[in-house]
Amino acid sequence: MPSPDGTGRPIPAFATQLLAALGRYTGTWVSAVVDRDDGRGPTTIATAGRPATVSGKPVAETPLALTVPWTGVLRMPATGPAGAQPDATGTGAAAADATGTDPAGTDPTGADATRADAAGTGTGGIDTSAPVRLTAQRLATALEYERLRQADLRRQSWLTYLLEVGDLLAHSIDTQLTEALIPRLVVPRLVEWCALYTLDGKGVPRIATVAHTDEAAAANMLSPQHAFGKRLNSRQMLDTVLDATGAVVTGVPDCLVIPMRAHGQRVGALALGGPGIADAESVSIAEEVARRGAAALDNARVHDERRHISHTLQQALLPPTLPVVAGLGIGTSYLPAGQYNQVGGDMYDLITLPGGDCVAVIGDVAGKGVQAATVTGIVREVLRVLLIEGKPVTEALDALNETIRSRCQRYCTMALAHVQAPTVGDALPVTVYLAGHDQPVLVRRHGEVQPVGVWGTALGVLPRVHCVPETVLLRPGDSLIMFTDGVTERRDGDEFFGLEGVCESAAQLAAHPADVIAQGLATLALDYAAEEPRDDITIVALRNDARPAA
Amino acid sequence: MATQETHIVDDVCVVALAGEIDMSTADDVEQWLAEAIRATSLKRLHADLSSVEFLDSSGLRALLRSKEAAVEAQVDFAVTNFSPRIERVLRTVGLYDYLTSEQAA
Repeated sequence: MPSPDGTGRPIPAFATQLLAALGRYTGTWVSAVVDRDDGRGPTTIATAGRPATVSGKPVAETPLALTVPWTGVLRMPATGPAGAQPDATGTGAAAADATGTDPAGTDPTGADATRADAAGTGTGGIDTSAPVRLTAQRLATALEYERLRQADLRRQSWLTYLLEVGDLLAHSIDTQLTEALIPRLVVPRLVEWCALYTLDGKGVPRIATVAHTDEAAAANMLSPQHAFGKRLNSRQMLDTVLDATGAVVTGVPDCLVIPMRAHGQRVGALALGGPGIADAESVSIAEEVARRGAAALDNARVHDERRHISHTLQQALLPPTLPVVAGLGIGTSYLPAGQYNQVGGDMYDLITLPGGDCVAVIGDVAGKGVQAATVTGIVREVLRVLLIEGKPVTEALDALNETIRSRCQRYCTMALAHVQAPTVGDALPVTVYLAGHDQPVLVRRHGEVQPVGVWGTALGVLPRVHCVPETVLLRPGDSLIMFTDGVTERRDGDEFFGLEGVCESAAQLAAHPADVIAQGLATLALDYAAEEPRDDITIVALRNDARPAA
Repeated sequence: MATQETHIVDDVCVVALAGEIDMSTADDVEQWLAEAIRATSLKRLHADLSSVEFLDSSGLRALLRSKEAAVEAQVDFAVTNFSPRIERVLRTVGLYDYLTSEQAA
């Protein structure tokens, strides 16, 4: 329990003792009535003796020096010729006569003379005699202490609340979630209802989310048919949302509107309603919540934009659709690593040459992020143009090498597989070109696995690239699997998935359809370790889908 | 985790690297090599990789940039004493000769 007077006693007990002492002194009943502006009105906090309830007897009130909005008085019978002192000391003493003399001699202080003074004006007016004044002062001090302590506790509690609010909002980077959260932060703790207004792309305000202590009323807030909803969407309300520069109380409906701004830009407004919304403390708390809410909304919006940009960029780096090539099964798996808003440096493409042949490409630009993605984009588009123009692969690689060398700070590894028209026995000749990239793996129908291709120079480093093509025959049911180092460098502690992992997986997946191979290998690489992959995983599988003879 | 130690052997400044040169350490490694290239009065600098256990594309990029910086500073730069695993990385990317020979490209 708080100790308002520092002696460890709560107010009512302390006040009762104080009044009892005064009451013994005056020989009357005494009561203290205080209005703490808490909605309960004037309340008797302590009494000594039995206050007279018979109306008509004059009562003297001594005001207590309290800080507004608290008020209080000491009440006791008015003394004077007209009034007889009712018995109220509770000690069994007989009622004193008009002069206040105690006939029973129960006055231990022997202060009859003083009591005569205490009779005061005798007209029912304020009794300013010393003991009464002192008691009033003492009581007022104790009450003031209580008031300050309560205010302090309340402030601490609101500070804690604001910290929690800030914390909750800081973790929310999703726009929808943030919008849903904000009204619920103030209802019911601070206000009865709340509507969050946000501005759309054109700066037009609309209600994003609402909260109300009464669920049914919440629905009314959003309903254009209901009076509540109508008022919240009225021209006047929306204008206030757009124009208010500070917290403002509007009458439409009776509520507080607080503009929400982040980086000097208006992002919306909070409308709050309920008892006590206009009191200074509530407004101040609400403004703090609005400020934090605005920052969180702005943050979430930036995240959304970034995610959108990344997604768009990423999509631009992928082939829109896989080509359909008769007899050739094509499977891909593309898993960019990192946060959802980080683009990767991996790319793949399937390019149809003028003669109908298909070239599968897989590439890896060192690094991640927008810079790497830019290089990836350039590489993809330039290569496509060159090959479709009919340039031989080695020449295209030379041109690419020059482009990257002159323009970018990064190097790029690449593997290409040029699938040519089937020869005798439905075998598909595939010419493999490697530019700094690891060898793809050829997996035969029956499970034999071998890496193919000759190591070549990565693009963008040296003035000249060295690339030796190697041609293999993909018989019906055979597959060629191309992959980036996100697969081989997948790591579990000190162990790596490695080329061994790829070969083992390939053997398991032999003869399966190309998409099964691509997905299967990706899954096996992912499952190799518990933690999230640190690098992009890209896999392209090409399968000779012709039916094997016998 | 990567660490470095620089010492002089005859007329070669040797930067001995240890640990892993990957996404998290590549920038540091590049910086160490850049400082060594700037500070040395010698004309030859080797990056000794005998204690390097792992090198990925970011590590490779750090070595490439160091080689470029060395060429600009007219310092002969080469990587030495690498494990078979690291040799494989250098050969796959087609930069074995470029990085292991002191000459510029």
